[in-house]
Amino acid sequence: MTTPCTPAPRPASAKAWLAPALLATLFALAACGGGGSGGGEATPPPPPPPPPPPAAGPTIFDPSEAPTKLSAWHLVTADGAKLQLDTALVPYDLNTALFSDYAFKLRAMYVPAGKTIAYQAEGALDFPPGTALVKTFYYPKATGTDPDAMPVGQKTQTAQGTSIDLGTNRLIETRILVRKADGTWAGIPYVWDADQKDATLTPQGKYLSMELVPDTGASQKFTYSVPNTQTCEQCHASATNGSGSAVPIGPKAGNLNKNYDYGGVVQNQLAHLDGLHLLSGFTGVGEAPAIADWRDTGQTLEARAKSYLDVNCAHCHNAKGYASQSGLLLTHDNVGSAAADTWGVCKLPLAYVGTGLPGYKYDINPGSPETSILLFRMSHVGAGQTMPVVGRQTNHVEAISMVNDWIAQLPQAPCAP
Amino acid sequence: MHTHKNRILALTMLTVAALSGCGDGGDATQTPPPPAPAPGTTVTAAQMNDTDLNAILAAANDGDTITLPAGKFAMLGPLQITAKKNLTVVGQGNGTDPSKDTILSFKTALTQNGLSVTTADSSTFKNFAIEDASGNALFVQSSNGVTMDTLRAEWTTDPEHTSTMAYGLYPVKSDNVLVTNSIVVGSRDAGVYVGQSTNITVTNNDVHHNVAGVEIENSHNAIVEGNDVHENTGGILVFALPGPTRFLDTHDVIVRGNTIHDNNLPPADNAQGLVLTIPPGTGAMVLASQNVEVTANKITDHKTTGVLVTSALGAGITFSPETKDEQGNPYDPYERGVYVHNNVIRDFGTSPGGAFATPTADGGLQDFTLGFMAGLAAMGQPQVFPAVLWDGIVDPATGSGLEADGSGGVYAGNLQVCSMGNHIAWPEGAAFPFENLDLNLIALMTGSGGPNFPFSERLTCTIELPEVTGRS
Repeated sequence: MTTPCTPAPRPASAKAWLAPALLATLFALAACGGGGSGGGEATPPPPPPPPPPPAAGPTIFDPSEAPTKLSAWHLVTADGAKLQLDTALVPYDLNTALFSDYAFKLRAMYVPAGKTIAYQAEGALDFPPGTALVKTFYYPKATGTDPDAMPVGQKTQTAQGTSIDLGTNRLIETRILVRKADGTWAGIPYVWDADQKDATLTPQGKYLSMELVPDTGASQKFTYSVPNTQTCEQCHASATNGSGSAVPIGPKAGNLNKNYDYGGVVQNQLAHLDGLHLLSGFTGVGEAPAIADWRDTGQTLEARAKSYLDVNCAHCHNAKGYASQSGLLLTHDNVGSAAADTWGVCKLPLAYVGTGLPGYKYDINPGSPETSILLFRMSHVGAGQTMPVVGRQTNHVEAISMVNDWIAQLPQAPCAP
Repeated sequence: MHTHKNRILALTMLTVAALSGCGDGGDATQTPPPPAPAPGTTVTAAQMNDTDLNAILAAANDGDTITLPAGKFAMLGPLQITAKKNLTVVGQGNGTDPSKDTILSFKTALTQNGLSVTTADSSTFKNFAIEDASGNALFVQSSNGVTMDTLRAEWTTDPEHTSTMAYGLYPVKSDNVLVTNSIVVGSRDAGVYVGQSTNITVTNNDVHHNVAGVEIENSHNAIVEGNDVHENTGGILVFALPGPTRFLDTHDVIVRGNTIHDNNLPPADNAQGLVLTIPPGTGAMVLASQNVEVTANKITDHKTTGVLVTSALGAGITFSPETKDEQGNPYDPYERGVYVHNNVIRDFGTSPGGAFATPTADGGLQDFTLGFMAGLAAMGQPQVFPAVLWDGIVDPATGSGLEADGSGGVYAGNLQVCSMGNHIAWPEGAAFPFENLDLNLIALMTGSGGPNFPFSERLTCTIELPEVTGRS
């Protein structure tokens, strides 16, 4: 974004001993103005061994000693006009993302120099201690009607890159998931200050009054909820009943297996990480799984629904998750499997007792989205019905439509009335 | 259990003796120093909001006591505790009077659930109320050692028509659970609901205006004792249901010494799902469970029946035989080892509800009910259902002598389903006590036979069940 030229790939061997910011500068010089070797594709000669790196680039804190201000981490910088990822971070996107009241998200990973991520086809990639996953929530700016509510745009995110333009966007929060030396993870939430120049540690969470403004039609007011420490665990401790050590949810091989626009260069994300020599044990994009982008109408409804339910539900609704006691298991592997009762087909709910409306009896009633509790809970807000229970106060209308269509065409027999 | 009580008495006497022994020491007795205050946090009224309180709960150390002030406080979202040990959350009073008790109100909350606790071994929740929480009022999962004492969980306004509180006090996937001295009102499913747990004691609670009062579900080794359970749809339920992951079976449960009355409420408008298996007007219901004793209860004023014992088949519950729980066990739909005895049961069966009032064309048993009542009328007998009902379905694998259509059959020894020695108040004008009805349901459905009444031979037996110890 800062340079109009195509950046050259970074050799990982250099990464181990060169401050990333310095490295980027060197390459920018080499590619654009340096040497006159002609063309942005030129690869510079290996630089000589440098002096010890200056104290620049990210600092990873133990979560118990998290600084009050996000800026102290040097993971992102913001000046009120633009948020910029530090060059040591690798941005990424997901085929299918968690819905968070239409918030946009800029995701990035910081892997300590010299360390690699152990690739695995199933589950989240195995990041080394010292890793920070950095997710910034933001919205397109909008014009609202209520001075007491922050107006935010209701749009579908397509933006990628390494920065956020604060002329057109409003930063809300940045969450950092850190892998500690003992291998456990902990989440640390920061809420952006009004001047959009820094963010403040907010482990207790925060409620924000917002007004969601669509391109056309009526806006809706809602309360955006920055999660507290426990709420982070409820979703992220997805293998330990929503308690204790968090684990990353998004960065699984199948969900990372897509292209990203790295500021002008578009490349498969797994190939990009591999090119940076950040992956160990990687067997190539060709062998990597890929889950569907739920928005991709070129995919089957089953593939889209499996992806959406996995990302939006399965962190709790898996056999080891917070909602395991419900017996409703919505992982990518399970949805669509022969054990249809375990993913909701003609399954009477165990820990929930109803919509209050006639006809609703089963989590999923094949062919009948209008009597399927799963869809009902996806399409309502308010304390009594909302699923997921964390992070959603508005309806994801596009996804509701897709899940509706999926249930309508399920091949299983309708349930007994 | 009598030996236990005697043991407690003996201990009490010892203590008394020991105290008097000290007192005898003359005037030199020293006042012991007051115990050091427990480590933890005394929460101020200003901190009684979910944001500040969650920060306090997150920062709590193992072993802390979090003390809540008196007053009624509104929460916008759930309170949460994760991954703590020996934590105590204690309020003031019994949670009924906002001027001197602690009340947490979730009436204006944005998301569901009151206090949700995961992985908190040896935790205690005491002396506060949770009002108007959608979802679950107090949910504790995956914890060993859970005490819920002197709490109130309530949906405060018109629960029959507006409640969205699924469960009041809800320990699940936990071990060594005690729910005591608490009040639960207005859940649209179960008031006290212990699921997928072991070593459970539920005692001395007042539970009313729920769909199910107290429910022990997919759990092992539970005592339900001394509770006042009234004006629910069904009083006390001992259920095993298909679906849960930890246990698919329920066994070793004793329901004793409870006062169970007037559980005739229609199911709440918002009730749905398996809880609707309860016929309204049922005092106690045992479903697909093994080694269950119902004894010494006072069960009065129930329009369907005092005690209903049924297999999952009789209740119309479908399941996948292939699905196994985490112990490797499949769902067991049958009743074995059930003993209903020495209960006082009176004023029952005048207007059977649920499946017994559902048209046969819709899968119900209305035709049977109408026929049964007509038969009684023809004999000049009062038209009521008996005090204890069993669906009469025997497991072909562990029983014997079943007919080709699966009806009939008997269990041997302690596998039997028995109802004997209850103190039945005979319905007015009755020529016999109306104690038991063995429905022999499969024969009823296939037309190969009929129910056994008034003398239900298969139910007239006694068995010995393994000792149930409850919370250890």
